[in-house]
Amino acid sequence: MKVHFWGTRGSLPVSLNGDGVRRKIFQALQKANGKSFTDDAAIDNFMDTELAFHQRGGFGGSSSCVEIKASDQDYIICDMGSGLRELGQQIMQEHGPGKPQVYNIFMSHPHWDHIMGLPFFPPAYIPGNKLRIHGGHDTLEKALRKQQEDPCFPVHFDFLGADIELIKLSPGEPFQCGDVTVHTIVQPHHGDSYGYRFEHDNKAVVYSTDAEHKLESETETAEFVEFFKAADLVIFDAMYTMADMISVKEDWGHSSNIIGVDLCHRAGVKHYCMFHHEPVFGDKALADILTETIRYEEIIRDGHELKVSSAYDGLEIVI
Amino acid sequence: MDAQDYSEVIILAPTGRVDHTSAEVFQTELLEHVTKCAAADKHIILDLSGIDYMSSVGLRALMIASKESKKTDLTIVVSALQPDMKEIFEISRFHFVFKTFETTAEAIKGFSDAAVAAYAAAGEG
Ligand SMILES: [Zn+2]
Ligand SMILES: [Zn+2]
Repeated sequence: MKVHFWGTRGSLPVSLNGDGVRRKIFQALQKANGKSFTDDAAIDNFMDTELAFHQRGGFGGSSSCVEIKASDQDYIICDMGSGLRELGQQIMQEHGPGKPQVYNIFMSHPHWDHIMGLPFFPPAYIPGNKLRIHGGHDTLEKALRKQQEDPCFPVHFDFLGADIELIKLSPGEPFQCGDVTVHTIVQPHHGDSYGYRFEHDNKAVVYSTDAEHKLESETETAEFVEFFKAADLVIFDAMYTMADMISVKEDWGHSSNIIGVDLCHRAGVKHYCMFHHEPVFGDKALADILTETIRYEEIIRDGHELKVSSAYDGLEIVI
Repeated sequence: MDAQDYSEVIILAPTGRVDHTSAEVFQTELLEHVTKCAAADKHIILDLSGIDYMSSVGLRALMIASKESKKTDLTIVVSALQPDMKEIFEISRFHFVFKTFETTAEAIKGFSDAAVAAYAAAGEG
């Protein structure tokens, strides 16, 4: 399986502004001072080896959208945040309007940052395409219609030309999507959210965003440990720092970087990927949090080593 | 967890690793001390020198203790973090939640002369 991240930001899309770009250029020039480059490859090499990730690139700012590629199967997409727009553009380039596709979409919940990409997803406007939108909420269709109603948006939901079907999933009942088995779990979040575990070819990927793991009850925590069990990749809502999550941001519906490490350790997960980044954090702050989280994993590791990474727009993980 | 009285200060010294297997006991004992100290107008120095590491559930217990203390006049400070624990405090931003001291002897100086004297008399200062 391959996992492609199209949007990784939490709550609200953000964009790097001019000052931010200038800071990166400044740092690059500072590092390049006195150097000369014989060709373009030398420049690339310099950027890759001497500039940090937050200096040469960044995390991007689109909201939640993750594509899961399993063999040559129909599309599997988690959430329709603003990252869906770019995926849609790539699909249009690849297939053009004339080749109908099936899109299996799995929705964590209908909060705005997870649905806002649909009106900007060109395949949704093309007759012949099929959008199968899966989720646990009864309110999903209502939310999708509402965001395209007057006075908020000029193009109504009914104008979407694709065949759109809403499919309700129930936690605890495995669902077959082609040759991928999907398990669903209800998660603690305002109005609930749903996490998904995709299994294919003896590999497992868990998409678990917008979940506040309060650690109040061991029974509840153990349920997630079981859901994450031995997964190859867990995509996890690590929006806040631990102290913030359980003080000022308590009941805001999100978890912390280190809770993700603890749950994944207990579950024997191979790769833990932090997701749904706080919009307030810039690239440097997110890079620092990744370094700290890797260190935390090292400190509390009890034998089993867990790979820790932080999702960014454009990242592809092969499992 | 070990508890020693020095005038208006109680020094709590838990030991071991606080993770999901031990956090519940840790939290229960800690909160019992918080309740008792609040009722007796005492303060707490949490000497964490005996703690090897603490995962998120343990930190959560500390946060609950901090929140409880803020409902009263009780002060909780943390002392003597081992290097790993110091890092965990920074990573989790708990160094913003608790005032921390390098040593317990440093921490007790923030309290009354009687507490400092009692601590010194016990051969600890
Ligand atoms: Zn969200
Ligand atoms: Zn949400």
